[in-house]
Parts: sequence; structure tokens; C-alpha cells
Amino acid sequence: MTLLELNNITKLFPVRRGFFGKASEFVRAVDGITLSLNEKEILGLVGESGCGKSTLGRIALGLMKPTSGDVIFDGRDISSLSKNDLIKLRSRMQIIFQDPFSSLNPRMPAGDIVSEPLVIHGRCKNKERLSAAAALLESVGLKAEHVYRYPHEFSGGQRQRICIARAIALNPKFIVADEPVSALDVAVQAEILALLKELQNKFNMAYLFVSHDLRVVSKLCDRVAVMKSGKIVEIMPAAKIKEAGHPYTRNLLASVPIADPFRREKIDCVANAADVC
Amino acid sequence: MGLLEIKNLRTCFSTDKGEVPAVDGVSLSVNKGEVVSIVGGSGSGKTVLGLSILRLVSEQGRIADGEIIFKGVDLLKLPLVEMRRIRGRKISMIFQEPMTSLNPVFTIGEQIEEAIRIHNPKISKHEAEENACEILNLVGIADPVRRYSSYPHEFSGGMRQRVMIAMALSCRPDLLIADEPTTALDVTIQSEILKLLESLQAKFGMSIILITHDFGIVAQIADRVYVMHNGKVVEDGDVRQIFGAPKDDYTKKLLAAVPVL
Ligand SMILES: Nc1ncnc2c1ncn2[C@@H]1O[C@H](COP(=O)(O)OP(=O)(O)OP(=O)(O)O)[C@@H](O)[C@H]1O
Ligand SMILES: Nc1ncnc2c1ncn2[C@@H]1O[C@H](COP(=O)(O)OP(=O)(O)OP(=O)(O)O)[C@@H](O)[C@H]1O
Ligand SMILES: [Mg+2]
Ligand SMILES: [Mg+2]
Repeated sequence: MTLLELNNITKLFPVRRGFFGKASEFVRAVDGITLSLNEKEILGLVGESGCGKSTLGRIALGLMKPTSGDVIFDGRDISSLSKNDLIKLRSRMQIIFQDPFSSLNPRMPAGDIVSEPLVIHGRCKNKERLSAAAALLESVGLKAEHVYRYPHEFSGGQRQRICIARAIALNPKFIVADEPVSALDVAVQAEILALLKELQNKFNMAYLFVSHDLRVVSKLCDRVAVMKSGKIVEIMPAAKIKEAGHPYTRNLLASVPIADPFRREKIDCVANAADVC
Repeated sequence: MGLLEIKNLRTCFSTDKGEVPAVDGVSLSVNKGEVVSIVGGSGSGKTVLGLSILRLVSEQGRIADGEIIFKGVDLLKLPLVEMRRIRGRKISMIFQEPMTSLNPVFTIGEQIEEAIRIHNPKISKHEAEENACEILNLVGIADPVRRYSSYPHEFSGGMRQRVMIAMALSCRPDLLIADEPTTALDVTIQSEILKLLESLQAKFGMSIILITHDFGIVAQIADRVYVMHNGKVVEDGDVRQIFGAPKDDYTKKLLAAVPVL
């Protein structure tokens, strides 16, 4: 069953004039992407920094309007929904933002942050809120006693896990996970990936999993889409990523650093680095 | 004598449970031209250690004990005015969360120009602009002239991270503290950035403290490695020794969890 369909999505952003540039130029952040995601599918999205992955993720959730193209979720065009329907839909789709700190309210303790979706959508009574919050924090490897701490009192990786806990609170159908494990050490990362997998099986969750870590993507995802300059250049089963044919994907594969200091490659110096810095 | 010598550093935060140490008796040294990597679990105290070196720990925290000797001077004993002169000139830091350390109301170009002026106060406006564009180019921002007047929120996550790198490098520090500098970058750009760091290290003898959880990067560029766990250094040594013959159980656990392609 198809859960999400993106039809010919394009997104342009205006660029302010440079100090000797002309006005009204545009960045083509997403350039005619058509993509579909099945229920319970994990689709990896990899590609160059700035190629439009986060933008596509936001559009898929209706958090940003595309310049052109349609987003169909569960058979319905989300641009045609009434406000009420959209709120209901929001409980079924969540996002883990790429930048954890700026997506967390600095004046709210962690416990309130992760349990807020439950309260908004009437899934939990006030007196149950604290225990629900503690359970959510524990599910991502934080401690129950952390409920009273504020975002700035956590480490980078701890903040990232607060974002994950908030996104899974409602057991949504669909999560856009934008670099969700980038700030985690490999041991915690493995635990979080196992948790995401477990939720996928238990609640039939689907993910759009944006990541630049091909090792993680090949392990977790069902399919992988490779993006470059706003377009999808290749899409394949994740198990086949090593056999990818597109030159850009081959280049990505070749650039993954090998975790073995005995096989260190000599790095050529950047010629003009010294003059500029 | 090394460039930086940290002795028995303790940094604590006051919480409702009293003072808890985030960095708990850490000793560490960095020689000139050396790349020292700090790895360790989420919440183990790596960022707080980096911030302590610059004396930028937040208000609830304090450096309770220890010495941070940089070029023979204990930074913890310096008056604040002199400490400010060291930040961004002698020691600069690439912060873990770029969006929070870029100023949302200034353009990308303006912020890099300002960083260049710290190192080179007499530079003309025009030269500073040109220089800033070249640095942006060096960190792989395509079309820097056109993107010069963009604001931070108009950049992607990885583009912001590269702006941070450009700013930290533009003042040509003796010591660069890079806190997860490439987490938001795809591997092709990451390898360009690593090349750039190595070039500056080779040319100027810049020393680098590289905080990362990516063992691929550690294997690629670190000379020595410190492994942190719960605020303490549990193991340190030459990079080949850490990978080839780890002694500590936590180090072994981390190495075993490294994902492979
Ligand atoms: N609000 C905005 N205004 C103007 N330009 C924007 C805006 N948001 C994104 N862009 C531009 O759109 C392009 C794609 O950005 P996006 O954040 O989607 O990239 P990304 O693939 O997520 O990159 P990264 O891996 O670095 O996070 C970039 O060139 C970016 O500068
Ligand atoms: N302002 C603060 N108040 C209270 N505790 C804090 C504060 N800042 C950090 N901590 C705690 O100190 C410990 C060390 O934090 P630090 O940010 O140094 O971790 P880290 O090793 O950088 O982790 P990560 O890899 O997740 O970024 C963590 O347990 C964190 O919760
Ligand atoms: Mg992004
Ligand atoms: Mg940190």
C-alpha cells in the first residue's frame, strides 16, 4: 500500500543579490521530484550537502509548500485539506529535525517537550504526563530524572535523542528523520537504530530517513534514493547500494573513510589553502 | 613541552542534585602540529572539555580544579580581557551545533568578514569580501558571490557547518578545537574538509583537537586518541595502538559498534 506520493515536486527559493550580483535569482532546491513511499517502508535519502533533502522532507510533511507539484498522503492531497483535517493528520506524521537545538523550546523542560504531542492530541491525561515523559526519555537511553532539565543542560547527542523521543511519542504512521543519529556515538547509534526498526515492526511506521552515512543507510533502509542538485539520480534497494551505477553514488561510496589507521591514505594538500586562510 | 597541557581538569555543573562533574579529572596534551582526537559516548564530557579550554562554559558551570597550560601560560589564571584575545586568534573552535553559534541577523558574508578582521584588522572592505569568498569556495560552497548575502536560515545544515569551519580557519589559529565538524556533511565534502585541515596543519603547524564519534575520520587523520567515558579519560594512545590493541572495555565496545558498509 502506498502511503506517500510526491508528484513532480519543485521548490524555488529567491536569492538575495550578492554584492555585485543581479536581483531575483533563484535556487532550485528541489527540481521535479516524483517519489512514492509504501506503508512500513524505510526509504533512505542520501546526497550532497545542499542538494535539497531537508527541503523535500519538509514538503512531504506539508510544513512547507512546494512551488509546484502535489503531495498525496494516504490517498489525499494535503494541500486540499481543511485546517481540522490537517491537525488530525499531523498526529500521524512527525519530523526529527536536522538541527536539534533550534527545534527545542529553550524554556521547556525535556519532560514537557517529549510529552507535548500526547497532550495536544488528547492521548494522555495530565496526571499521567510525567510517567509518560519519563518512559519516552528512557526509551532513547536518557534517564527518567532528566524530565526537569532544560535543553541547554544536555549534550548534543542527548538533545538529538529528545527530538527522537518527541517524534515517536504518538506512534505516527510516518516520520521524516533528518540526520537523526548524526550526533550519536556508535554504541548509542546502534541502539537508536534498533529502536526505530522495532517501532517500524510494531506500529507499521514508515520513515523517510535522510542521512549522509551510507553505512547506516545500507543497514537500516529498504530502498535508497540518491539525490544531487534537487533531482533524484538513482533509486535502488539498500542491499544493492554497493553495486550502484551512477558516478555520483560511486564517488560517495569511494569517499567513505575506512576505520583502520593501518590503511591510511596519503592526503594531497589543498594548493591554495595557505594563501587564503 | 607541548602546545597545550591540561592537568587534572574538573568542570562541574550545579543541578538540583548538587554539583556534578561533567569533566572529572582529565589530563591531556597536544603538541605543535599534532591532531589529537577525542572520542567517547554521548554525554561523556567532550564538548564541555572543549568549552573549558576557551573558558566558555555556561553560567551554571564552573571550572573547579586543574590547569590549562597553553604556550606556557595557565589560561585559567588569565584576566578575562587577555582570554578574549586568545579566543578566535590563537585558539578557535568549530561548535557542534552551527545554527546556535551563527548570528541569525547578519549575513553569512558579514560574519566571515568579521572573523577575518580579528586576524587582520587593517584589511580593506573589498579585500575582506574577496578573502571571505575564497574561503567559502575552499569549504565547497558553490557560487559564493551569489550566496554571500544569504542569512544563516537560508543555508542548509551542512552549508552552515562549512561556514563555521570557514570562520574558525580564517583567523589562522595555533590550535583548532573542532567539535563534530563534519557531522552534517556528505562523505565527498567531508574528505575535502579533512584535506583542507591537513593542509593547514602541514603548512603552519596548526594543532587540532578533533572531537568526533566517527572512527573513520579518526583512523584517517588523528595522531593520538583519547577515549572519554563519564567525564574521565579511560584510555589514550597512538591511533594505531587504540585501533589495533585497545585495552579498555569501553574502547572495545565502541570499536565493536562501528558500522561497516
Ligand atoms: N529558507 C530558504 N531560503 C533560501 N534558500 C534556502 C532556504 N532553505 C533552503 N535553501 C536552499 O535550498 C538548497 C537546499 O537546501 P536543503 O536544506 O534542502 O539541503 P540539504 O540537502 O538538506 O543539505 P544538508 O545535507 O547540508 O543539510 C540550498 O542551496 C539552500 O541554501
Ligand atoms: N549546562 C549544563 N547543566 C547541567 N549539565 C550539563 C550542562 N551542560 C552539559 N551538561 C552535562 O554534562 C555532560 C557532558 O556534556 P557534553 O556536552 O560535554 O557531552 P559530549 O561528550 O559532548 O556528548 P555528545 O557526544 O552527545 O555531544 C552531559 O551529561 C550533559 O548532560
Ligand atoms: Mg539538510
Ligand atoms: Mg558534544
